[in-house]
Amino acid sequence: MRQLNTSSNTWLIYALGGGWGHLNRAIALGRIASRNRPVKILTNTPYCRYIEKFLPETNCQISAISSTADFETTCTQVQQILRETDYQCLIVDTFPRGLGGELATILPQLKTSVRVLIHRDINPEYVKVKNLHQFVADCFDLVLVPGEGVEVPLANLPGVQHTNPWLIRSAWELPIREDVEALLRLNPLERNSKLVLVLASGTAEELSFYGELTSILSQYWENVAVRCLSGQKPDKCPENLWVFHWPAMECLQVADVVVGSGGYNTIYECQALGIPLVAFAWPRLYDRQRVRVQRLVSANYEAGLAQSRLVLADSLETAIAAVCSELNLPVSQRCRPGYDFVNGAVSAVFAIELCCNFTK
Amino acid sequence: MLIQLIWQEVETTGREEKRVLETPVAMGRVLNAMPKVIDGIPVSRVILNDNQIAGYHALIVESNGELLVVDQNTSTGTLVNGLSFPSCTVVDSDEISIGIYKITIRLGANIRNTAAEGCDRMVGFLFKRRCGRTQSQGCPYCRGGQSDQDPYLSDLSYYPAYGEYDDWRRTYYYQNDSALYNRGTNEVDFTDSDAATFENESDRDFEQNFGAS
Repeated sequence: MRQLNTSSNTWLIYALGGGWGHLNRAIALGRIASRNRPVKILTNTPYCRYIEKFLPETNCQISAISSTADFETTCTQVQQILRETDYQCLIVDTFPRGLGGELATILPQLKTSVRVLIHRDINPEYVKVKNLHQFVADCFDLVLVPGEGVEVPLANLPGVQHTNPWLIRSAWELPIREDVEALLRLNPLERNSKLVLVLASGTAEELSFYGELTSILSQYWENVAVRCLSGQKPDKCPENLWVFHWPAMECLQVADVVVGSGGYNTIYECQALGIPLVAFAWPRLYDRQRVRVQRLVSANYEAGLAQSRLVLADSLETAIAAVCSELNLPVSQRCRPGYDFVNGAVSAVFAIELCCNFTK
Repeated sequence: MLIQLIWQEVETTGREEKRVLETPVAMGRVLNAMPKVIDGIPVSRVILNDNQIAGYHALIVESNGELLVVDQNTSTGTLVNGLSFPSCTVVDSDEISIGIYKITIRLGANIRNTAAEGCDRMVGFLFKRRCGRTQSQGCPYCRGGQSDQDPYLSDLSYYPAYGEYDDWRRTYYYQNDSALYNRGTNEVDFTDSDAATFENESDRDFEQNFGAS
């Protein structure tokens, strides 16, 4: 058994990466873990600035590296923080060698801490060319798959544990409907209407696409409310339809249908709440959004769930058609929000605690 | 006829060689001592580095639907399954011994199984990669030993078994006359095979962008 040489019980979460996914997943874990220990989250997401005012409630300390820092500077800062922080456990989200490969030389020497990999689905080509099977087997004590199924590229390694998807909120933490309606600035008439919620994120082009979609959807019906939720107002999105709230999961329960991406948060939050999602699978270097959507479409089918729970859209037209189809369903056939989901972040904290106790 | 010869490259790399070749196949120590063409048919030439082996040592040729190994009147002879014959019919899995080399011959379906994986010959100067081709025809790299214009014929690259690399100025290459290099600068050229390696390099985008996800 390896002996840990640290007086600290801090957990350090490496959550570098663009987009919301890495940060949200880290906070989902960290806010639960921080009840019993200090948790520090290392991030470089540009979205950090949008959620600064919400961060104190997470009880996690955020180490933010500028998203505009150049490659070398980011590598140096990450390595410096890892060297200078006294931590019991290092939790690396998604990228075993670090997003820039900057952990590749550090992790094999890091014998004094427990090392945990959060294995979100990744591009198998990346796994192959970087020989990640061997690297992960050599450098990590525990691999946690946060609800991404058994076919993720590293699922066959020993020591892999699966949990339900990690969510930023458990069911009992969700706000009441009236509060959400206020957050979304729904007027009395809109509160009695159906609501289409567009979750806009991603690249500038993708944001603009969602802005245009919001604008089109808002003109499509007279008795349907439309809101676009995003950190910054997308081009082409009418000002009065744009709102920002974090975490977005708190707003989903009042939507009749959500339009968004096939990214981790959007997919699993809608699945957990049973909110119909029309998803665009955007291309990413590491994430396989299309694979995630298709896997869950199949899983829903096999579970006998309504197929409208998740629809893959390829264009503006197919998305609008899917939204129309969902809104036109008779009440008896429509999905209703459910609050019986299990937040996998709770069991993930427990699994990491066990691993830390075993390695002491 | 397509045949496969498998042997251990004991004198040089230690690597197992697996070549898929069209008959006739000439085997010997000196490329130019072996015929390029026999009866108008291009000869696949295999170089075996051992002093016991003649410049042109043996020929594998198809005759009346059978495969024949013909020794070229050498002093050390050619053995098939341990027995010496001037010429001998060979079948799948027979072992031909020439000098220190023991060469297994594979025919028919057994070739197809392995040939599907492509030629195992390593080509490229800076970055070795498998030739990968199953047909010698049209292959600019190995061509089954059919062309002495093949720059990779003797694998004269930066390779442990060739030359002494601790002193580049004095012993640049053990066989540097045959190597593909720029005689003006004494630098080895970056070959098109190396370029092809980069073309196939699929990890060039990974770990380059901290904004990816």
